[in-house]
This record gives sequence, C-alpha cells and structure tokens, in this order.
Amino acid sequence: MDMSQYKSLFLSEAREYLKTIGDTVAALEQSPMDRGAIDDLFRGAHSLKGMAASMEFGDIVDVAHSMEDLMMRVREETLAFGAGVAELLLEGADLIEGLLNDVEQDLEPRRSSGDLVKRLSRYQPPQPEAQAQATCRGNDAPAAGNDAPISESTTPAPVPERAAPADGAAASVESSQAEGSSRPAGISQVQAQLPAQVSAEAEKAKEPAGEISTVRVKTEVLDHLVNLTGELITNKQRLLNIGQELGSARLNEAVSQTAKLLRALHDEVMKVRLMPFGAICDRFQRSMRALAKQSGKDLQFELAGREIGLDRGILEQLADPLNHLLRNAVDHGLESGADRIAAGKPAKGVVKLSVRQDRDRILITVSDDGRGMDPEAMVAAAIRKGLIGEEEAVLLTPRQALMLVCIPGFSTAKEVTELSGRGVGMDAVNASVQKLGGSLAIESEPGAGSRFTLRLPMTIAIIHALIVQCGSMKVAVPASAVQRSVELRRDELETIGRRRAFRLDGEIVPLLSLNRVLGLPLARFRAGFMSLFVTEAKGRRVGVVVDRLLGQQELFVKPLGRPLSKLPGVDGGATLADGEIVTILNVAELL
Amino acid sequence: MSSTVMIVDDALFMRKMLRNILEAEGYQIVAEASDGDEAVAKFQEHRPDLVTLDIVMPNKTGLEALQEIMALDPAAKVVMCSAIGQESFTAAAVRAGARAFILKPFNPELVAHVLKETVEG
Repeated sequence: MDMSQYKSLFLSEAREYLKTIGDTVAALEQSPMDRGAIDDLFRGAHSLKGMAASMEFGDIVDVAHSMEDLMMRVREETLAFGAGVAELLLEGADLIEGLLNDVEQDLEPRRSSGDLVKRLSRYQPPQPEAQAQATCRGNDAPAAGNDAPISESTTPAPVPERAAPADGAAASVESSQAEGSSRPAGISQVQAQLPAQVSAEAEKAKEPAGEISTVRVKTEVLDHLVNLTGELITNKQRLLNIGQELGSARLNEAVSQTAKLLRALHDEVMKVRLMPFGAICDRFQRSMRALAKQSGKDLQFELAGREIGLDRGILEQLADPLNHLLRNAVDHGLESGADRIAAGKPAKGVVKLSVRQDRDRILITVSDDGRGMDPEAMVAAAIRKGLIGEEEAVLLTPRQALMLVCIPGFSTAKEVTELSGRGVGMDAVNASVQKLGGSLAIESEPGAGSRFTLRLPMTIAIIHALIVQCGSMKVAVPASAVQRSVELRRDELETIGRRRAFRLDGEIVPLLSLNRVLGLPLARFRAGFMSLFVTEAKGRRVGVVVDRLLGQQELFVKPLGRPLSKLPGVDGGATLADGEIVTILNVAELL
Repeated sequence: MSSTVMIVDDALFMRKMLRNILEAEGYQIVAEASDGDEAVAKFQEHRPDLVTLDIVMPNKTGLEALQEIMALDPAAKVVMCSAIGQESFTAAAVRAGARAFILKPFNPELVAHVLKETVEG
C-alpha cells in the first residue's frame, strides 16, 4: 500500500502525541499517582507505536514500544512513576521528535536510538547512582548516535540570522555553512563551558542546515497566539466601555484605532491556521467514484476551489456533512440514465462541489442537475407525518417548505425520501453547519436540480454574538444564528391555535420563551413591549422572547471541558467586557 | 445498498487509513468516533451494519464500549482492532461478543477479507 499519502497526517498527529506525552510527564511529576495521566501516557506511546508501525518506521516503533512497556509497568503498579521514568520518557519523546524531522525531510534516519530502548526496558527504580545518571540526560542521549566531535557538529547550525518575514506568510531562515565558520570565537568558549547543553542544541539545529525556507511553528504556539489575540479583543471591549463612560473622545479614538489593529492581527493569526479545502477533497473523489459504481448512475463529479483556505477546526468537521450531501445528490438527486434521457437531459448527471470566499464568509455548495425537490409534495408529506399542522402548512413559503427536510424525522422516512428526492441525515447536516456558526440554504427547481449552500465563518474562535438577559442570567447567542432582533408591541401579538406568534415580512413566526427553555421565571412585558430575536430552528423561523436584548459583542469562544462540553445547547463560554462569564447557547439545539 | 460502517479509533491517522481501505471496498462510512463514549453514542444514533473498534482508547476502553454496544444491540457486528501484545484482551472481547479481530498495522487485503466475512456471516 502506498503510505506516502499518509505522511503529513502521520507527522502532525505523531507530534500531537509527543506534545501530550511531554505535558503529561510534567503533570505527573507534580502528582505521580494520577491514574488518568498514567493511562494517557500509556495510550500516547501505544498510539505512536501503532501509527509508526503502519508507516513502517521501525526506529520509531522500537522507541515507542519500549516507552509503552515502561508505562505498562507503571500502570500495573510494578513500578512507581518517578524522576527516572520521567527522564527516560522525555528522552524517548525527544528522540522520536528527531526521527520525525528526518522523516519529514525524507532523510534516512541519521540518529540511532543508542541504548535508549535497552534503558527503557531495563529500567529499575532509582538508586543513588541511577539518579545521578538520570540528571545528565542530554549529555549522553543525543550524542549517543552521533560520533562527530562537538566542534564539527555545531558548524552548520543556523545562528540567529533570521531574516524578517518577507511576505508575512513564511519567514525565511536561510543559513549557510559559511556563516557558521565565520562565527566569533566567543562561541567556542561557551561551548567549552557548557558542552552538554550546546551539543544538544547543535543536534536540534542540525536538520534545517540551509535547505529550508520556512519556519515550522508548533500548533500549540499558534493556539497560544489565537488565545492571546482573543484575550486582547475581550480587553479592547472593556476599554471601549470605559471610554464611553468617561466620554473621552481622545480615548475613544485611540481605542478604535487599536480595535482596527486588533482586527488585522486577528486576521493574520487566523490565516496561519488555514488549510486548503483540498486537504479533505481526496476522500470525496473516492467516495463519488464508489457511489457512481454502486448506484449504476453515470455521473461527472466537478470540484472547484480546492485552494481556498479554511480554519483547521472547521475543515475537520466538514467532511461528514459534505459526504452526506454528496451521497444524497447521487442517491436521490440524480435520476437514472433512462429517466434523464426521457426528460430530455444528457444521460450523464453532474454533481458539483464548489468552495469560494465571499468577504469574511466561506460558501460551499453541493449541486446536482437531477430531479430537484418539489415543495408541495414535501409539505404534503410533512402533514401526513404529523410534523406540521395543516393551518401551519398554508403559511409556509416555498423556501420554508424545502427546509422541511431538516426536521428530524422528516428525511429519515423512506417514503418521503423517494417522493422528495432527498435522503437521510439532512437534520444532522443542518445541525453540524449551525454548530460551526454557519447556515444552510436550499434552492431547488423540480426537474432541473438542487443546490445546497453552506455559509460558514472563516474562523470559529472569535464570533459576534448577541447578549441577552433572561431572569438573572446573561447569555450569548452567536450572531450567525440571529436573523433579526425585534421589540414587539403588545398589539402586534397574534394567537394562532394555542400558540403566540407575530407577523414578519408577511410570514407568521411563532414565539417561544427562552426563559422557559432555560427553566427560568417567565419574561414580563416591559413597558408594553417584548424583546425577542428571530432565529431558525429545524428549518423554521422562530421568535425567541427574552427579558432584554443587551447588544452585540465580539466574543472569544472558549470550549468547555468535559463533562460540560456534552451539555446539549451549550457551545462554549466567553468573558464579557465587564469580566462577567457567559455561556454561548446553541439555540437550534435548545429549542 | 452497501454496508454501513462506523470506525472507532483515537488516532485520526488510523481512522483515515481504515476509511480509505473500507471505502475502496465499497463500504459506506457513516460515522467515526475517537473514544469509547463517542462510540457508544454514535452507535446508538447511526446503527451501522459493522463497527471497527480500537481497544486502547480514552474515556472508555474498546472493551467497555464493546460491552455497551452489545447491550444496546446483541446482534451488533463488532470487529476489534488490536495490536501485537494485546492477546490478553482477545478472550475477553470474544466473550463480550466481538465477531472478529483485525491486527495493526493493517493489511488492506486481510482487513477486507475479515470484514467481508463478518458482514456476510
């Protein structure tokens, strides 16, 4: 099997495991009995071993395997976690890191594990001598496989001759052998005093020697930058509030300049996290080929916009929804060849997946030239399924009717599927898109085809949100989920059946109370009008009534840890400008 | 209609490899999970024809997830992914209802063969 396609994934994931191992060792040194951390270490080494074995990198397998065995002993409590174990594991992690760098540059592994594998597998709990040996790690480890004298190995080291980033995307670090040799004599003196440290650094610095034109940055550093930028934006909001309180025009002017700069900084930082859409395209091409074969339909798959960059976090969560949409397009959208010819179309159906950027949004469309969807048939089916009432059905616009496929329970019904030309899982697709702060739109013309458009933000860490008050709580709702905010007069309220509703652009929009959903006391009419925002849930517009609308803010979203992350309807937390902590609601999931 | 599969492994790398192998064989991957909890939840949601389940995972081991999946559906077809050195788990996994094992590192032909037998058997 050709494994080269997996190389970059292997490298990035292996480095993540190494980082986890490093962090966990540090944590265990603080609390050596932490079972969870011990399990994590064992798993990390185990996973590394498995991955390296698949890639047939025997050196890495050997080291990871002996690390796994060592942790197995700790896990089974035949060995206590102590400084000796920690040192060995870190040494193993460093060695693997070096081997990964070799792999990345397609070099033959230039370092050997020396006796590390042996030391890992024969490790005995610290005695006075063993302790002494453990503290001089870095002295024997990296040098073990490297016979070259220190003075030579430092020659090609890229001295801090870093050129300033020329294009902002990748800083160049060109270095040449000549630079090394013209180094001031002072350095060799330092070397003499600190042989261990310098040799370790020289070892690390050796790889890039003149061949590399970009700086590799660890993803943790990027995440840290994103965090800091987020905190700065939160702080900017505070300054903005203070400026307004003080009524100082000069302060406001300075803050608004800072805000612009922060926005630019944020955009630059986020750009670094972008990955081309093409990174996940291979699988679509493969699955479309397989689908064509299975369904017996002759089809052409067109892909556009592979080069468009998306946030890594978003990209990872797009694969499943897009797969769903593509599968539906083939299984249910496209007609059979004979039917197409009968309808006067070319026998070969076309399915397109295209990505483009529209200002600060990414638009992804999946379209087909198949049979299309019939809004009337869908409405009729939804009534038959008891998903909507007849009086409600009359009020649906064609756009709303198409969105009925997103109601759970609608699209899973087989009969409806065949009738409407759309398949399973649309509710899941819609939910995933909303979770990413995006929206789904469906257009279709019976007989001519359908088009599903996903509108997504470029990044997910920083969002615009509407802050609302419910009882004593403030909560945030992503602006992407808010179609409009409304202050409704009492006389604009209507009652339809047993539900309260109001009219928006000639459409009847039912009302729901967010207080009730959150289990809080109900909102009162304040001075004769009620505050609400309009959102979309299960493909329908809904007015969500709150106590007060407090305004919009830029929020830096922080994910919640377990078990809070499993709470339905909660997408994360954020700090408001006044220091108050709010939860960010996923309204569609709550309603 | 092709068989539906859920792939469970904590390493994205492993999931991707397995996905490629299975898709080339015409399976339809309906879900992926990266830990035991997620595996059980997604099994309940998707009810795949076949599950490939890694043994060493966070939050719930493969063995624990297997037991819960079998409790949800005693007819579930679960294939365990194991590595050399995990023989001690195999007996327990068979007792818990595992249908077969595939060994890491994966050999595509072997994996395809084992899964085909499991689906048909």
